[in-house]
Amino acid sequence: MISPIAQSLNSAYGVKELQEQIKQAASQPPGGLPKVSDVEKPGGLGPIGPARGPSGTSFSDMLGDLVQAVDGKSKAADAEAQKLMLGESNNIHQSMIAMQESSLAFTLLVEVRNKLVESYQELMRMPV
Amino acid sequence: MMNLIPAIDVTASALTAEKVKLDVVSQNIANAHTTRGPDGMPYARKIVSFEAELNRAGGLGGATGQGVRVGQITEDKSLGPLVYNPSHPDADAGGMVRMPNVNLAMEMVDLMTASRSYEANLSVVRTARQMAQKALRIGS
Amino acid sequence: MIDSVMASENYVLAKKLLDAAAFRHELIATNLANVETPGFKRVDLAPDFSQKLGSLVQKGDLDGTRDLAIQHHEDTHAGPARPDGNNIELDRELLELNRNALEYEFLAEYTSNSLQRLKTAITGRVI
Repeated sequence: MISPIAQSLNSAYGVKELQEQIKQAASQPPGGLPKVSDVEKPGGLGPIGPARGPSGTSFSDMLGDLVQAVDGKSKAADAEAQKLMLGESNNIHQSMIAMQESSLAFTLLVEVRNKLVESYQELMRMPV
Repeated sequence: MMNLIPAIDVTASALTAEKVKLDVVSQNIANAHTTRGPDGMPYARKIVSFEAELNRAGGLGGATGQGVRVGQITEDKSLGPLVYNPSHPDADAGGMVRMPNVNLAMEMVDLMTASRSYEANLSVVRTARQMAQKALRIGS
Repeated sequence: MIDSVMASENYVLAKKLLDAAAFRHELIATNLANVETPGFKRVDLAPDFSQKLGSLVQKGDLDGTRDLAIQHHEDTHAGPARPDGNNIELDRELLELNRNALEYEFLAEYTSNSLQRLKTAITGRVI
């Protein structure tokens, strides 16, 4: 379970893979816990499922949305820049703003990834 | 070609047109005393008329900026004043000379108007450039 | 998630007003180019633009502000026409040019500032 996630965390563009891994890992109970039959007693621990937010969106959904939003923003920036380059538009400010927004979105994505890596490493350091 | 300054075509057309007018008015002033041109007649004052032209659609919402161009350069056919000057080489039998129909005061006014318009359009370009440079610094 | 980060009211407003100021510059340039064209009438932004924008912002309808059309029209409050039918006053137009340029620069500065603040918030580092 450990190595595939670690590998994908280490590649900047591995967020989609990360998302897949998290989905899979979260939906399976980790090995090493007592068998399900031992645990299914009233008041006992239930199987671990994916964490769900109050509105039912999981963390992996949020990450997916973020990736798509970043993609959308950078496409918009490219379209604006192309319009400017081809002379179809003369609004510099729209192009500049689009560029800055896409750069900001990307920075956000990178920071989220950094924090995920950090917290994962933090988690791994915890003595069981 | 990239069009980074809004309405640059419009302003460029105005600069060209005003320059033509300046040239023509200067020519009028220079020939205010030309009593015999290449055709043997006194110099006829030239008049520049402007007309608006529709530029390429550009900017937001496809609004067209209307530039300006020189419509026509016509000759003023009115006769100039007759001046008594018997010693002038072009004097007729009665000692009268037909001067060009150039009124220096009016030409000076035209010159100043054209010159001010030219300056105004230059400042439009300068201002637009400043605006564009400010936009380029967004985010830094 | 990204869009909620960049959907602050003033930021969206500033972006729309930047579009309007750039467009207004084109109109003023047209006016100044045609200051000697016979029969030319002054053009400017449609007067209800700022009114409509204001009411949209008060209602909190930010998407509406993005779609608001920016249009020009013949200025009915322009001065009297000269004998050749032209009603553009050079000095007044130059004043509008400078004022509009200043508005544009302010809006650009505000947008720039907002983006910088967002960047600082995201990276945790002051640039």
